[in-house]
Amino acid sequence: MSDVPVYAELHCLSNFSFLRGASSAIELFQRAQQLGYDALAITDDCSLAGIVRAHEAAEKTGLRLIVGAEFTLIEGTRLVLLVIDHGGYTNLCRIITQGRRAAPKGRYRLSRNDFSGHGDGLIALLLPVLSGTDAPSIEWARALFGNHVYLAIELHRGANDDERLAALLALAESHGLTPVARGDVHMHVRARRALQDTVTAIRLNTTVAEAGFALHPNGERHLRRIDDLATIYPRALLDASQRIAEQCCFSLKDLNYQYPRELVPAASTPTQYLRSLTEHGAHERWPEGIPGHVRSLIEKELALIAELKFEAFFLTVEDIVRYARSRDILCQGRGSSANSVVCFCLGITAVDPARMNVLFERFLSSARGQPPDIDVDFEHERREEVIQYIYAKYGRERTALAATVIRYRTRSAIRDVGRVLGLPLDSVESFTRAIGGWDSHRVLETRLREHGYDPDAPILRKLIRLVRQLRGFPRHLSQHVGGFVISEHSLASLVPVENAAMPDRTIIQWDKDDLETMKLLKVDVLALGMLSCLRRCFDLVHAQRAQRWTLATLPAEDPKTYAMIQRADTLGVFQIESRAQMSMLPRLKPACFTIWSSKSRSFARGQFRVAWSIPTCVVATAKRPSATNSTNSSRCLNAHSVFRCSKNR
Amino acid sequence: MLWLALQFPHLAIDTRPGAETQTEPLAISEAQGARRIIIAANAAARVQGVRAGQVLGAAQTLCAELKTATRRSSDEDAAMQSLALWALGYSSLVARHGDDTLLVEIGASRLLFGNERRLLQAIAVDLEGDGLACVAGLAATASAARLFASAGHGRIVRDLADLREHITAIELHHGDLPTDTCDALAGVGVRRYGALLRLPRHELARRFGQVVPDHLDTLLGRRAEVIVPMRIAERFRQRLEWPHAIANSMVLLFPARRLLVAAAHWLVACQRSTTRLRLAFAHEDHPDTVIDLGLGQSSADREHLIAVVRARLERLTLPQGCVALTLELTETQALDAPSRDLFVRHGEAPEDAQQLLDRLQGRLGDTAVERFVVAEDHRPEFCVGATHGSRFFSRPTGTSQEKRFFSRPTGTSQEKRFFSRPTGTSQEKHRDPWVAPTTAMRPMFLLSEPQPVAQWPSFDWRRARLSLPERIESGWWDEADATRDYYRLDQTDGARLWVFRNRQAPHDWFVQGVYA
Repeated sequence: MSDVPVYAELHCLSNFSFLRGASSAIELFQRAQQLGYDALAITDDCSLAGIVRAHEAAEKTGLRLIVGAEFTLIEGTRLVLLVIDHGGYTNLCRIITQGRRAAPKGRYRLSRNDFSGHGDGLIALLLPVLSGTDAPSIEWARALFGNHVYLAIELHRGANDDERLAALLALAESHGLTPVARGDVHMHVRARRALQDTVTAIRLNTTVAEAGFALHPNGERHLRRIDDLATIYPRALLDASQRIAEQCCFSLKDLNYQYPRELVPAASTPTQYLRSLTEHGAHERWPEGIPGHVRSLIEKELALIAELKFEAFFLTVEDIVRYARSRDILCQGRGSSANSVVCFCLGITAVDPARMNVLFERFLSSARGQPPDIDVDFEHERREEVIQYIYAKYGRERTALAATVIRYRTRSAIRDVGRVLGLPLDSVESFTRAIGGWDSHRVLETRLREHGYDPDAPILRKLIRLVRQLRGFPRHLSQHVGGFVISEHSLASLVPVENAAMPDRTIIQWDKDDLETMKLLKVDVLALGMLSCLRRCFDLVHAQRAQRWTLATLPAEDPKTYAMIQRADTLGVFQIESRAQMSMLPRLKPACFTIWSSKSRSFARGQFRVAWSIPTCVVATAKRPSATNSTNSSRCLNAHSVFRCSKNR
Repeated sequence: MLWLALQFPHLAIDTRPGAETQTEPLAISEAQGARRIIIAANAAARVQGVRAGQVLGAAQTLCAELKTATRRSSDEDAAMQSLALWALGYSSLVARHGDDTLLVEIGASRLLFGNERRLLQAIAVDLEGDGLACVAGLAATASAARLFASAGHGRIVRDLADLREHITAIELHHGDLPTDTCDALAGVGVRRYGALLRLPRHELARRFGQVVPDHLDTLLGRRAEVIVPMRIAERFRQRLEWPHAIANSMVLLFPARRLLVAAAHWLVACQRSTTRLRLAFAHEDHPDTVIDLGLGQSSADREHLIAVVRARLERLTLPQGCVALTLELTETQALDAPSRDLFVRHGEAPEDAQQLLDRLQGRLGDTAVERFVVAEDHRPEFCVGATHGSRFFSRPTGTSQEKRFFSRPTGTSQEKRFFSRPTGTSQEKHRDPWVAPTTAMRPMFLLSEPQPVAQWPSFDWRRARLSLPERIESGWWDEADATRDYYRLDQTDGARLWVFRNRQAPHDWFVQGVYA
């Protein structure tokens, strides 16, 4: 045993324990590494929402991460579970899922019985309360976790720490448990005490002045220096922490994620199946024969996909799109996926990449190493059918919506911090209005001075300081718009699932950035109102003229359409309806697709990409005037623009 | 509709305390033009033949030792106002007529009081208690009621149909007809209403003016009369003045009492209760002395208010003689009728305890009565405070204002209870389950302000520290951030002190408390 004490922190909350933790994972890891900790366990409150960020922080700083979570059971038992191996991780996810599904959004409910059968591969650190309920908790933990039970001792320079320490050591002795030192860390440095008090007050919906004993009595719950810890805890307890840390050798990299098996028919491999589908689609698209440059593109893409092993993404989307087509639901791939010939062949996009110079590397490149982001828009009225299809095909166990992390912005931070500092409500509102929505936090003082407030007043100084710290902190999880995660095995063994606010919707605790980092299969099933419009157009055209068009078969490059666009007669035309567009079009006079689409794109805010513009432009060619009675179509089919109807009709 | 008219013929005399019953003849006079006319005379003067309306000189010949006093119409007005407010307790429609008559519509309130007789009895009892001479008339129209009152007609005439026969015998000058019309009618031999009613209307109008038939119609209910009901003022503020300065504060109780009675009437009429009063004593050469009285529990009880004010006046010393008194109810709220327990014994209701405290507060001063509150705060000097004013028997709310007060080193058993263990409050269920409340021993005596150790008598460092330091870091939100390490220290003389050291510069040592 060396002279220098070693320590690993086994109980630490990041700010993904919403409104309890006061530091982000990267801050915690940087500080722990500075202090020379052996390892750091991130144990959020019945949640693994922040674990991927912790994993990234651990990779960046080089400090080892231990995955875990803390729980408070309804019987009063409080414990932290740490993951030893993959089986333990699965069990942890299942426990968290169980607890979260049993309670409304944002809360959890666990009792001792919920843990049965899920005890393997986990280490339990029990926090005793020195009352009668300790003995049953210890026995229960022993029965469930076997030898992996320890007694956690947390000392924070309280009033009678020496007595408590003695009593706890005696308790450990009497039950034959090894005691271990734990920090109950809520922040990375002592200076975050004010923020921690603030978020506690926000959570309890009170002001800091009235929060009373709900606030921690001191700022000791931070990552402390090891020599400070050595003065508080006996050496044996610190060593125990390191021994426990050594046992936990699970890393998120080891997660065994597999793409769902339904994607590929039994006799084939993903690569083969993808190739066969692509070939089939290519022949359909170019019945006269595949052009040479297209063929070379296809080969290049397939090779890259096979190299990066991302076939499953394409196959999943292809399957969904095929279902949608079979139900006559208009759908369209969007974004960078339009750059892919394979997507075109598979029917995911409807834009012929042969007509433009595509840059496949925008979509998928070995340099980036990230899975492709295939977003598909569906008719907004029928998107629910697609969602139900996905649930039905893969089961609710294996597919769920991704989460979005709702974070504090400057305004919401001002509102909440102002409230807990006890400022009157109308002052808080006027501060919020003083800050514009897009202002950076650096201009807070200037804005306040402009509106007549003195930012050097003590209360405002505090407000500004806390707002700056609170910005960007996660507040709660919310349902992602349409991002689905699909996996081969039960999702609950991969990532915990919790209830969303909508009834019967469940979300996983990771958001799309986390999914990308973990390389999980995510498909975006989005809704676009314009597609519903287009479908009605097609139906009307079909009814009127018995012509069945699809997005791909609409005649392109119609000069009358371009003439209309050049006249800026684009009210109701998707994407080029804004005044800015209308002022530019007569000057540019786009006469062919590429010019027009590039100009249109320059206005786009980054949401809609080039590929999208094409079908809308193309559809505009159907502009035969006709007199019909239906309210929709009389607008639809008038002289110029097929889609002057609004999205909501 | 049934109107009760109350006329107070001797109001001027009655508003002077003791004037009516004194043995010396006294008359109140007012200057009208160049002459002084007697307005009212007390019983002793009336016996000698002094009547209202006489010229002062004539009265003095009738009664040689007649004393006179000037009329104080503000007093009379205040008295009438007070009476009107009182009457609002019996009816919602009250009107004042002239200087000395009150019209009360009691038809709508009859059922509330049981029957008419009870209502009238209650009114009579009240009036008797007030000591004002009053003549009443009861009729179906207001003007007939007034007529009956001024004629001294004691009958109750409920129906319109009966009115006619009852007014026949009444003389014209009791009514509202102008004096010259009355004289003219007397000139043609019409002195009573009976004769007037027999005359043809059209000719009456032509000869004496339309006012006569109109008046008859109003009397008999054939014509609507305009009654302007009295409006209750939004705030109660009344002022009484007197000619000679009063220096004795106990004598001031009498006008104060009158004002409080009026205030109580106002409260009943508005259905409100008051929590704060202001009494302003006006002096001649001195700015007003103002007393603010706060009540622990809002009250509309007249006796309670008088008791509180009396207690306050007892210890009041005025810098100068007082010439006027103003009472204002500064804070009122809607009346909350207390629900009564079936078996409560008198004197044990919590209201009584509250009233006792109000009287103490009144006697000792608004800020002199305090109570301890326990506030939840990690910093020892903020966790017990004293607060005065409202809410003596309610739970402490622990606002940051209340926490400003320091505790008193009295070492009573109350204080010991505060420090033994912080009790759970309503925040118990929200508390972070990982934060255990402290069960430490706290000192019996807590200093209201920490003292530097150098100033502590006979302090020495000789004994070692007993414990690990307890760290308390809290209070960043109100500029009193305490970051301290606390230690328990034994002294050679056996005392155990609770000392702390500031964790920020300049790392000084302070004594916070002494263990028993």
